[in-house]
Amino acid sequence: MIMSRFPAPGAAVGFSRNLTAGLSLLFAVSSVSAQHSQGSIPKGWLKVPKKSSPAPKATKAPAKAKATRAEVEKLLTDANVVFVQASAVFNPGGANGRPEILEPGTGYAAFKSGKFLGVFDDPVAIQTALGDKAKAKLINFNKRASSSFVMPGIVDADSRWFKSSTELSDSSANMGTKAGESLETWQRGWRALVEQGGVTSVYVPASVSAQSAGPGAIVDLDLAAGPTPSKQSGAMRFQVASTKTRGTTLSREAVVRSLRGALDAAKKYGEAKDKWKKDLAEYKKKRKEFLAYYKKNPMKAAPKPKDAGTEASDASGRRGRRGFGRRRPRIPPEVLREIQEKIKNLPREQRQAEYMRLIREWLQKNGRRQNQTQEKKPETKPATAKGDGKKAPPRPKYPSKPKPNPTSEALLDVLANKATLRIEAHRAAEIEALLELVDEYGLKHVVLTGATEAWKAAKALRSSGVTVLLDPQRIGTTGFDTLPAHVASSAAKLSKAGVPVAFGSGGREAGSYLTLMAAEAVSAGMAPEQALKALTTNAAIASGADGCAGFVVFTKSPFESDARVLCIIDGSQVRYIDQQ
Amino acid sequence: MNSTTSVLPLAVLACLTTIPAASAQSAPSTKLLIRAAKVHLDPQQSLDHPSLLLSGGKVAEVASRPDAKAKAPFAGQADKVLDFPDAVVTAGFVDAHMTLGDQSELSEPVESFTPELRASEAYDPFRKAWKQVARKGVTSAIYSPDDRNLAGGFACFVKPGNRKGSLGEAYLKLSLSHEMLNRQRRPTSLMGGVEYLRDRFDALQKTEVRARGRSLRALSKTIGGSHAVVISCREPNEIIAALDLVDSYGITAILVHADEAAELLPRIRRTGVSILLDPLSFSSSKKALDLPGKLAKAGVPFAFAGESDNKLTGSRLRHSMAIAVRHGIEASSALACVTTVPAALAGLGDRVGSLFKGRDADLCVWSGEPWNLSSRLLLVVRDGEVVYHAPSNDNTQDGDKTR
Repeated sequence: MIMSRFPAPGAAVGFSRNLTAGLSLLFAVSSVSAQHSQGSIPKGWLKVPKKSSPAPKATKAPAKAKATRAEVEKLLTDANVVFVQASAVFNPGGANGRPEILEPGTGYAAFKSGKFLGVFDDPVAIQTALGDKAKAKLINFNKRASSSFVMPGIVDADSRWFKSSTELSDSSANMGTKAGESLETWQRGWRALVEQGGVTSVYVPASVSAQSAGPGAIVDLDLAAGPTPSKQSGAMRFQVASTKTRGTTLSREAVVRSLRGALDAAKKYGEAKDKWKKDLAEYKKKRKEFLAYYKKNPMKAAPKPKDAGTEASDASGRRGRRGFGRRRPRIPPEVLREIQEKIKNLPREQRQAEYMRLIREWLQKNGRRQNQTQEKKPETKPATAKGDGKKAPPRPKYPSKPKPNPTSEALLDVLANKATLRIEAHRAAEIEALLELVDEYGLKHVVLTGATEAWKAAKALRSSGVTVLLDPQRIGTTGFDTLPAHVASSAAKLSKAGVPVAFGSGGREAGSYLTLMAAEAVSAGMAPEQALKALTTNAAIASGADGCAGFVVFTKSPFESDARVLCIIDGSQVRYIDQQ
Repeated sequence: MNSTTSVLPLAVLACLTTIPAASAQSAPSTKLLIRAAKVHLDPQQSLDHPSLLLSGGKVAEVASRPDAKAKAPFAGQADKVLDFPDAVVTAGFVDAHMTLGDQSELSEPVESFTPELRASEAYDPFRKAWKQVARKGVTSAIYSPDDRNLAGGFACFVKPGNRKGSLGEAYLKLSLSHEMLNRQRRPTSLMGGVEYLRDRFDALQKTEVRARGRSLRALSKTIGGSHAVVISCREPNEIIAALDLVDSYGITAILVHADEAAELLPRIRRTGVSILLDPLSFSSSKKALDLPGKLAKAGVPFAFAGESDNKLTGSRLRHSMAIAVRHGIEASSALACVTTVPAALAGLGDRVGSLFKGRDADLCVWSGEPWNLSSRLLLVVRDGEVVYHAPSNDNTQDGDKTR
């Protein structure tokens, strides 16, 4: 079963109401003294009762719009609609397309076929009134988790699941190598990604070692059907520099040039392909005309040549002697006898030279082919149609097809902005050079990976609209300008500058901790909405996917370490994870 | 689970370590009052709206206020007041096994059995990295010899960033891991190493006190429990060898780097050793990620150690805590693994790791719960002195210049 996808920003938002709970607690002043002695491990250090954390604060007021009772009734009668009461809902495409965190209070967030419909006032009363007509699912998680949090499914934009390490490290891969052709969806252990991390889809690259690799695979983590490769092809990859190979400025320039060369070649290839398509269409048209003419004017059989069967022609009328290379002149035997007579009386040592001289003389006199039979081409009249007076069209020539080139073929989709290209670069200078290239070729779906010094090129990145994929496994550490808590600080700086940021784990188990990575970025100053967007829609964009797969409900804000996944909403299906 | 019973032998021995009850350093004269939304006095006890009065490098008073706006108590007694209305206060982190700095200083390359060496001799309090460690919230550390000697010597208790030097002797470091093996000297195999240790422990029992050399005198501190022994062992056979030694000679042991401990949990629990875990990170293996949960389930005491990476030391403890919580450990247990448990393992339970009255004034103020990585570190106090204060008007960590 293929999970339904939460679309990119722009989903409809309903209305909600905030519930501000006022709690006033009084505490008596009490002095506390030492409780345990030196060297002893405190009692019960391992077990304490769970305490619930406060709900995350809404950072933006939800849109104020009133849904009529009829509208709510309509939704309630739809079996594909799921209503979830949650303390907070993250909507990546809120008012003006900005991400927002809504607090429904006692209201319910409604979802249908992978789309967030909005937040509605308590539909329970209407559901009761409707009785059997009500078919929508109503889930109230607040009974179990007082601060449940709903958000689109998390996307791991750089996973190492479902591929063998040998294939991932295949350095001979090229743009023609497709990740989808060698997926190992039978691998075990992936469920932890969903159950612990709320990850509902992962991007798997075709290779991480080669300089270029073809489309990656997007795999939806469906708890019922297992890992399901998406029909969409993921982003391709091109590496300008890596953290392991520290090249020189010149070598990096050479790689940038090679990318330019590859794009130019793809452009030419595209032009040649277009020309061929045009020529092919023309050929088909002419061939049609040609065939139509001869259908209308059938051919007359051509007359046989008169001299068929002569010395120069064999029985079939073909010329007798054909061969390769220079033909030897045929000197008549009587001439040879005459020459031999002439040299007979000469001294032995002169005979050979005189023989050759006489031969040459004869050849000069009679010409090289004098001796050969004059092959006259038999007069053949071309086949003629039963004339209708019109001139017959010439036979059309099949156009020559350009030689298939998988790299150029793949890059054509990138040039046409139909596919996403990931470019790995680290230094600010490399990044800026690449951005110039991106502008020059008008590429719209480019993702920068590695991006160790991207924070230094934030302005240029913002104007180019390139998404930056941050992955702790692909950060250069030696010889680069890094920040304290580099991934988190880079994410915060880039996000503040208006650069779209996405997170990837660069590993397997690490996928379960993507929300912690985002939490660290929040502590470094990234807005919580932007951090959530980096986990969801931005990560989907960086993967080359249309959107996120399904929705995930956490017990509390996903930034909190002790947040647990309660359920996954996949279309109209609700898959419970926390069964307590 | 009955974790207390399993750690009692260790607790009894650990309290006999020779770390002095009070540091020799001069305490700051300023009385500091810190008010916050919540304080974790230790992982089990917390107070809402606390006031903490710090004086003479110690926690002088701790009390809760009637409400968040109340200024009393202790308002008149303090020279300086720091208000954090929404913040959470915890004890400063304790790193029980730190090998920070130039590793060539922490092992003797020619001799393998050097129990008489002291890490305090190699400790450079002026190293910039210590200051950075303190600014990440680690206010106490045990500076340990590394894993390259069979008996590396005695670790020492330090307060990172405090330029007064070592504050006392801690455990003896032994190593059975592969780092100890060196073709240029003996032993050159695990069995050779174990045999060498057995020989030394046997010699200790046979030799009169007066006849003992320096190395045997140093080793004798581990018999009878005055000093614990930290044994580096990675593979299951190394762990078994370490447990055999513990059983044979009645030493109090803490295993470090024991990532394969999950294979031997019943034996570990029976032997009564504790575990110092390598720090967890986003790239840790599944085995390493599962281990804290398995140890907790088996009731084996464990703590996280920050180890040696200069750039990440400090933040590694916090990452470990957050990842362990995400992996199913209770938040309070995870907090214990970086505060009270390592303090107890190092024999410092009465000084650091908690914020009761009379303890060292080592604390951290966080914008939220410390196990949530979205919380920011706002303030670090070591021995009553502010060592890090986040810029007040800046929402980012840019003000923190540490690398």
